Parts: sequence; C-alpha cells; structure tokens
Amino acid sequence: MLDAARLQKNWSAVAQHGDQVPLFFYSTLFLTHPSTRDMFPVSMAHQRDKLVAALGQVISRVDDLDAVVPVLRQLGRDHRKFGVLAEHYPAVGQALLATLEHFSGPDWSEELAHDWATAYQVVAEVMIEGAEGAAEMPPWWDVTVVGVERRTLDVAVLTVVPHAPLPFAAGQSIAIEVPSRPRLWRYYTPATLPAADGSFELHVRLVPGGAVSTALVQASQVGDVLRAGAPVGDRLTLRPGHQGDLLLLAGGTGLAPMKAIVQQLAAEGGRRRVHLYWGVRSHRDFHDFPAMQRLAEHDDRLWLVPCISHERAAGPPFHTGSVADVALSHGPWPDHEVYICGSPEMVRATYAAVERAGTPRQLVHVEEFGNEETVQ
Amino acid sequence: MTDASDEQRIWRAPQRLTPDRVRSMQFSRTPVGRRGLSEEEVGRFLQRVADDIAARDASEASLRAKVNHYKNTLIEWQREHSEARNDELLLGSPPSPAQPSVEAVNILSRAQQEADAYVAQTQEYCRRLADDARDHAHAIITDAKQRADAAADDAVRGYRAQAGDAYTAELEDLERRLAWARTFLSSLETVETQLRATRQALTYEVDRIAAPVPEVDQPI
Repeated sequence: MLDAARLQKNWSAVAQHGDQVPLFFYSTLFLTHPSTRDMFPVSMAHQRDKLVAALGQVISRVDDLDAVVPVLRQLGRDHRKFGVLAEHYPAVGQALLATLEHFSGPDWSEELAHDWATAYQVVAEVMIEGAEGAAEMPPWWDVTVVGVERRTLDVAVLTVVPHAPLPFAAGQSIAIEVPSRPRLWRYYTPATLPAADGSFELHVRLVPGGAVSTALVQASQVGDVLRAGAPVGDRLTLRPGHQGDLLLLAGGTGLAPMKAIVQQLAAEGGRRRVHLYWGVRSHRDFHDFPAMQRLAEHDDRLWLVPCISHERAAGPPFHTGSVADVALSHGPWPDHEVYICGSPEMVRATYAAVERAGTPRQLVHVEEFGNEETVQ
Repeated sequence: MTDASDEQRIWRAPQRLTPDRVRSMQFSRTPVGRRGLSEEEVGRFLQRVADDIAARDASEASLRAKVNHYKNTLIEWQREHSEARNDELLLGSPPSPAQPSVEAVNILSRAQQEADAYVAQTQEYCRRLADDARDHAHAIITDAKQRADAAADDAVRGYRAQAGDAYTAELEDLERRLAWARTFLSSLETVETQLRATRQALTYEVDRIAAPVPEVDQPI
C-alpha cells in the first residue's frame, strides 16, 4: 500500500526546484538511453513544462489513480505517434527515480523509492495498456499533399490523401508533423470529411514564429509526405441524437470544423437548420469564400453570414462587426446548439458574449485553439 | 537607405552573414519614376548569401563527419554495455552502473538550455520577420489602392473634359474602373518582379536549412 500523503509531500518539495527538475530528468534519460532523445524536438523548453504538469496531475490524485485512468490511456495511445514502445517505460521510470532522489536530498528513503516505483508502475501499465488497446490502429498515418493553395497572406489550404484509411468525425482534430520540423506536432481540424479517395482539407494559418505553421504555409509542395496522428477531440463534434438547430460561430481558420460539420449534416440528410457566422478582419481574409457560398447555395437549411471586423463591409451579404455582435443582433437563438471556433481571443470574447445573452452552458461547444499554432 | 560608403564597407570586407545583418540590410531605391529596389544591389546581396552558404556547406560537412564518428563510438560503447543492462528491472534494482554522474547530467542540461535559447531566439526572429512582412504587404496594398484611386479620379476628369455631348455615366464608370485596375495591377507587378528574385533565393536557403540531416544508424 502506498502512502499518498508522503508522495505528495515529497513531490511538492521536489517541485520547488522548478525547471531544474525536468531538466535533470531528461538529461538523465538521454544519457542512460540515448535513443530516446530522437523522440523529442530540438528545443525541450515546452516539453519540460508538459512533463511537470502531467506529473503534478497524476501525483495530486495518486490516492485515487482510477480517476486518471482514462487520461493515462489516452496519453498512452497518443504517445504511439512519437514511437514510444513498452520497453521505453522502465527507462523513464529509472530516470524519474534518479531525479526524485537527487532533488530530495536527505529526505530520500527506501520507503519513498518504493512508493514512487509502485505508483510509476501503475501509471506505466495503464499507458501501455492504452497503447496496446489501440494496436489495430497505426501509430500514425502518412499523408501525401496533393493540393496547396495559398489563399491569403497567411492562410494556405492543403489537400492531403492518407496512405491508409483515416476515418474521423467532423470537428475532430488531427496532429500533423512536417518532415522539416521533426518531433513537432500541431493539431489541425480537417475542413472536410474524407472524400472518396480519403482526401481531406486542412486550413492552416501562418502564425509568425510558429515552426510548423510556417513550414506548412510557406514550404508545402504537392507530393510532400506529412505524418498525421490519430483523430482526437469531441468538443466540436455533433452530439449523437441531438436534433436542435445550430448556430456556428467561426473566426478566420476556425471555419474548418464548421465547414466539416455542415458537410456531415448534409450527408446525414437531417432537418437541422444551420446559421454559420464567419468573421475575418478584412474582405481579403475570407480564405474559402467561393466554396462556402456554393455550400450555402446548394443547401436550403444553411445560411452563411460573412462578417468583417476591421473594415466597413462592402454591402450584402457582408456584415460589419464581430461574429458575436452580428450573430447576437440577429438573435435570439432559443434552443440552438452553439459551436465556437477561432483564435483564443475570438473564442474567449464570443463565449463571453454568448453566455451574457443567456445561452445555457450545456448548449455551447467550444474549441480553444482551432487552427492556430500557439507560440509561447 | 544605404549610401555608397556603407556599401563599400559591406561588400569589401565580407563577414559571416548573421540574421542581424540580413535583417538590417537595406536596398536603395531606384532613381526617378521607377519605384522599387535596385536590381543590381539585390543581385549582389544574393551572391553574397550564396557565397556564405557555400562556406557553411563545407564546414557542415566536416562537422557531420565528426558527428558520425562520435555516434559510431557511442554505438560501440552501448553494445559493450548492453549485456550488463539487459536483465535490469526497475523495481528493487541496485543503482544501475549506467547511472550517469551528476556532472554529466548538468553538462547535458546546460547544453540543452543553450539549444532552447537559440531556438527561442530564432523563433522570435522569425516572428518579427513575419510581422514585418505582413506590415509591408499591407503598406504595399494600401499604397497601390491609393495610387489606383488617384488614377481613377484623373481618368474621370479626363473623360469629362473630352467627352462633351457624348458623355454617359456608364462610360465614365468604365473609364474609372479601367484606370483603377490598370494602376493597381501595375503597382503590384513592379513589386512582384522584385520579390520574385529575392523569394527564389530565400526559398532555396530555407529548403536547405529545413532539410533534415541524413540519418545515420539508430543507436540500439
């Protein structure tokens, strides 16, 4: 039986050393098992924060590890795309114990070592189990770029074809790795459902200084082969069984999940009506306008409302103002399910406005980082 | 704008090209009437970039040879030690003989921190470049629009002056649109020509920087 309070006390003492702790851990791991270095990007700065956060999360619930099992399983599945195998787990455990011992100083004891080892064993087993449960899925998919269109100053639309079937639901996201930026994965939400040949569209905004988005937007060429991780996320997917009408609020490339949702609804042939408000700064920032207009023309249950926030709209069908302002001025939207996707600022502002307008929280679906790479 | 003496200094005494130098590089405007950068100057600058890359290629090749040598030595070392480690288990295992010294760990940590700093600095630099480029693009488009507006107004005035009784609002509108589009496009074309050459050279360099180092044998 492990002593949860003792573990937590020890962890909070060790965590006082801040960045030194993950630094020591990774250096130990790489020195004892050099092959693991290759699974990580050149810069480890963000990686260290992630490790400490994940460890903290597990340790805070170490007396009830059952509660973290789903998270750990997902984590194990997700780590397959980095090339992590069951035999890597003991190596990590070893480095972890060495790190804890180093920073505990005289407080380190055999009992503590035993408790940590036991806790880690549980975590590792659950993660390995999660990975093995997904063994029938490839750890990643190779996808070939078959189309590159630079649509605006900073948005490119890529069409990619996976080499093996890659099924996903509208609103799910897929991590992408570019060959020129090894070990850096960024999530993008496909803007279409898989076509007959499996191909789908990615809308990528170039984030200044963003390693992956810069490579995708500026250097992608037809024929490039990217890696795609398993589809994840259910925040922006359609809830099975729900029949209410939809209010979709998109900012910039946050259009992507909405476009896929609209297509999924059309494919399902239901009766749900959709109002899609799509906001950008100026007229030339509508990176996918003709395609969206065609979708709306062929679907009498879809209304597309393009909004412009930093310029005066040229006239119908364009509206001047933020997505939230325009959509709410057209309201109220009783019983509508509201989906919001865009830049973090857009999502925050829109969510706050929608909430102020009295929309029940359970009807609002939000994804924080639509198709924006985040740079710290 | 660089004056002649600046140019002399830059081109006569070549130093290793640094991001800072590239960033602070400025091209003179062409004289009267023609807008844009001096092609000759851009050409010389690109030549300079190419020379620098060639020099770097050479040093990179010799570094890569060294890295290969160290890697192979490491693989051998690992092979020798792998039997000893193979039957080790996590629980209850004595301190592993492969446990590195704290000094070794700290040296690697420092190296990692340095690498992190370089990456962060590079990202910051790229971010600024992209921001600048965007501002520049906005300025170019705004400027082209203003020129087009002015040209359109001129065209309308010209049409009114010479149309006399033949004046129609439709024709005036047509003249206005034509002049606007012509001026707008020609402004952009000027910029485009200048950019194409620079862009091709930069794309080449970006590709080279982005190209992954050829894999050698994986350790283990």
